[in-house]
Amino acid sequence: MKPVVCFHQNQQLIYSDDYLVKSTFYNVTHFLENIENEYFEKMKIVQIDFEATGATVFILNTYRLISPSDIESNEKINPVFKPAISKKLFSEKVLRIKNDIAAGRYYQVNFTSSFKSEIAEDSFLVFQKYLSVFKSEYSAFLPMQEFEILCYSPELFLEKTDALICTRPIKGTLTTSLNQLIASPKETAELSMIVDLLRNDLNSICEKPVTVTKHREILNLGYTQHTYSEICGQTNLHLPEILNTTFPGGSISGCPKSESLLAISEIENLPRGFYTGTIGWWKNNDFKLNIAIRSFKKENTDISYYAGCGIVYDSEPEFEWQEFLTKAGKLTIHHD
Amino acid sequence: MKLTALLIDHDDSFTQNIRSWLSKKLNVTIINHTEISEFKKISEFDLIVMSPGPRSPQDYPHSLKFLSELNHSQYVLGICLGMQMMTVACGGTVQTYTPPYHGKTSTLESADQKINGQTVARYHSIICQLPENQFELIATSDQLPMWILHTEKNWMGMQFHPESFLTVSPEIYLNAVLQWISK
Repeated sequence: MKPVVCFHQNQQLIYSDDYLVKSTFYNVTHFLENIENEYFEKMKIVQIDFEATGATVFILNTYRLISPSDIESNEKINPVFKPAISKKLFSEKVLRIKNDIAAGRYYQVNFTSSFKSEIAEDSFLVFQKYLSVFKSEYSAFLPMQEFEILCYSPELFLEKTDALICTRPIKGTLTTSLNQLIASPKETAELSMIVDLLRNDLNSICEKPVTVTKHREILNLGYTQHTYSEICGQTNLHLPEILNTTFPGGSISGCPKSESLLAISEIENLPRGFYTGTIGWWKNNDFKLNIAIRSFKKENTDISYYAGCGIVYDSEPEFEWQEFLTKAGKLTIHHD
Repeated sequence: MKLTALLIDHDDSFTQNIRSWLSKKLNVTIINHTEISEFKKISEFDLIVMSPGPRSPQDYPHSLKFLSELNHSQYVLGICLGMQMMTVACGGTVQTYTPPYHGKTSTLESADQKINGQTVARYHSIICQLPENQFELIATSDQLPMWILHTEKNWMGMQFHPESFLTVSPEIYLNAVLQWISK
């Protein structure tokens, strides 16, 4: 049995090779309600696709907490990745989004694509290797039925402890200097509109008004730096109902969300699947879920790495292309 | 007893923030814009709020029809797209505004010293061309109408977003709405 690994608390990882797997390809909310009823007290690893049509839950019979350093590997695996989209087509898509924005259709859309390569090595070995490359608070390795997910997300979607629920959206990426990132009106607006969107999503599940507890703080990942904010509130709802209202996350869809989701289905050629969905743990009424970004999908020897950019009216295709490449971290990329 | 508001949502992502902003002083009911024609209890509400939303007023024929058929004594607050709908329903027009103002703040200019200089959030790429002699300007920004009041109907429009966390004193606008509907 391949192990399942997921971030927990205080930089520790949940590790298990003794679990049950349940999946659905239709009503995710109903599926999660059934899982909650049957396995309420069990530690569970949850994965939900961006389109909210598919979900998988690993119900752990036993597990242990480990440090990333316990499994990190220095194995020399260094495949060359190639963008799945040409710079020309990427630029055309950015310009199309800007036209939609100018016409008042939406304020921001998150546009994503991928990088492709081949790796013969075992997927868990590849996970161990990249664990030391990406600095990530929300890593996970999930053996799915037909492929494996290797996730190195730096972004929290939702964390619930008792009644307290928080989200920490990331928007804004280093281009030239930290001062430029902090002073940029474009990067400021990009995060601010997502903060208003996530206030909205949390306000829909919290009785009392939610609060912005952090705004535009710096997250240093080594391979780049970002700005992020934090919004918190109090709720008595459970995970299935919370996700039914708040999923998918605002930072990887756009604003207003429903129109952005429609635009993404028009602009991107393929469903995103697990990418930009969520992965995390769930036990009793507490949970911690990431936004599944900075992630690989490995299917036999084929491996894809996914990345995206928030596009606003002030976005320039050239800079967004650079941001797309930046988000590939320390991967070796060959592009035209 | 708390006053009541009916918030008509245009598939927006800030509707729950508007509910949260209003709910400090009003009991809020939310319906989607597609449900307006079947909703029978409109006149029972102290205030109707037309929400912001994507696209243009012309993309919401039900909401425009609703506004044009509404009793003039009914209090209506239009926010962003809602104010643009009011403009169109009164014979004005909207036009695109470049570059768009999305998730950014600006300063209100007003003869009212409590309002002048206040920082508010803006989310729009469309701007109102108001019909002549129908609206009073409460505040502007960059010479654009930001806060308007109809001279005959009980209609108020805000182009800015009072509910945004970027708006520095959201209570100013909520208190102004309450004073207006309590007259």
